[in-house]
Amino acid sequence: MSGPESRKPDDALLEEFLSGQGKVADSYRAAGQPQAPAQLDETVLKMARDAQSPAPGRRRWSLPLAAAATLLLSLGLLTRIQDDPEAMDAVFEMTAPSPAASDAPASPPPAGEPAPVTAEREAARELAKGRQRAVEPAAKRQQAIVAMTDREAPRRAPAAESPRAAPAAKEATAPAEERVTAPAEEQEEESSPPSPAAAPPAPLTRSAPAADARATPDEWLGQIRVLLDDGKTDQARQLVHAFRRDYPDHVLPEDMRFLEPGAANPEPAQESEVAPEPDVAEPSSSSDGP
Amino acid sequence: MLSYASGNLGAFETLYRRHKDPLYRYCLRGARSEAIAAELFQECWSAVVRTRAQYRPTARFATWLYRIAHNKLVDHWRTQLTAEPLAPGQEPAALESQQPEWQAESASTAVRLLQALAALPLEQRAAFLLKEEGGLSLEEIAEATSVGRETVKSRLRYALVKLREELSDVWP
Repeated sequence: MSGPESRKPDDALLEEFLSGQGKVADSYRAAGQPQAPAQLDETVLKMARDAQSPAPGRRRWSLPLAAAATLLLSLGLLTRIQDDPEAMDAVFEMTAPSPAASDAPASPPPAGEPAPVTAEREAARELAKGRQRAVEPAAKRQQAIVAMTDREAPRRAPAAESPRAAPAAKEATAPAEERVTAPAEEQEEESSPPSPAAAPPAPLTRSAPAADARATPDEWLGQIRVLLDDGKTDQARQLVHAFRRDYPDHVLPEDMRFLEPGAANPEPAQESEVAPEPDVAEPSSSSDGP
Repeated sequence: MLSYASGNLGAFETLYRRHKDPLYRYCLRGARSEAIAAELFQECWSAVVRTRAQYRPTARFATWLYRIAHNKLVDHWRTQLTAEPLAPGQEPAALESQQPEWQAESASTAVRLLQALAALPLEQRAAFLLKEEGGLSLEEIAEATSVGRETVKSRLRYALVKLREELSDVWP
């Protein structure tokens, strides 16, 4: 009970201390006032200055590092696209406008007029050339499809008779990388030896050498879908007929079944944009009746 | 501090010059080691610099600064539990810079007071130093140490009584 902890502290001593007076406060101040070393001052002030401005090292390295990373990723992506024909087709489907939907002139431009070659088309053409070198077998298969289409096309009009129909047919049947070529190149191609698409139908048989490059069902369907997307239903139907010769039992996707020879519905429902809705939206008057 | 937070480096230097020595003594006498004091001191200012954008003038800058310092000091002693508190009768650790003087002026009242201060429990020693070095009021000490005002008063009372007892031969 008489220990120092049980004794009530001296409030007067506290009041004296809080007012900055008293022997305790005086003695404490007399004990000396050590100051922060100058080295600490320098360290702290330098730290504050460094924090105020962005670190020069970070600023110096960030831009080249970001550029190098971007370049590396771009090269990797480009290599991957060139090695993968399907990825290339997907890229062209996304980036290249459809020739039928584009604002390209229906007839070839005059010879003296400079061809409107855009940078995008130039880049796409370069990519297509690179890919053609890398994936020659795939190109052969595509040419086989084109040849088959031509063979199946009944009485195809000569290019000289219908100058507008010729490029259209060529666009419809040409591989994707050919469809993104610039008009200038199209002109050059017209004067160059005929491409497989423009060539007369080759006598393609299953025993012929071209049969080695027989297209897979996916490639057939891809070409058919391109034609459908371009609104060339008749040509798509012809391609389906040709496809059926090689793959009589292959099940077509649902949206292509109307192209089958004996299909009951000639057009899919979604293609008839203005087709009237079936009378289920509005209450039928017959429901009020008996 | 608001001026510094808005990008005025000169405002920081003004604040630093004003508070650096008292803060250094708080760290020095709170940690009882010059090396530790220097480390805590730098950490305090580093925290000020790092969190300048989050600073809100809800209290005096000194209160905010010493709250940071107190938390650093408590964190330090939490890692040194074996050294705190000193056993009764054990000699307090002397500051390295005062070691020679400690021997020569052991009879000095001021040195004896520092010795007694160093032997106080951390909470009492911190409350004493926050008042003496930081110039904080009871309320500000309470805020800086996250306790109630009455708790601060109690800690200060015990601290003053013990200091007086240690020097009772010169302060009858």
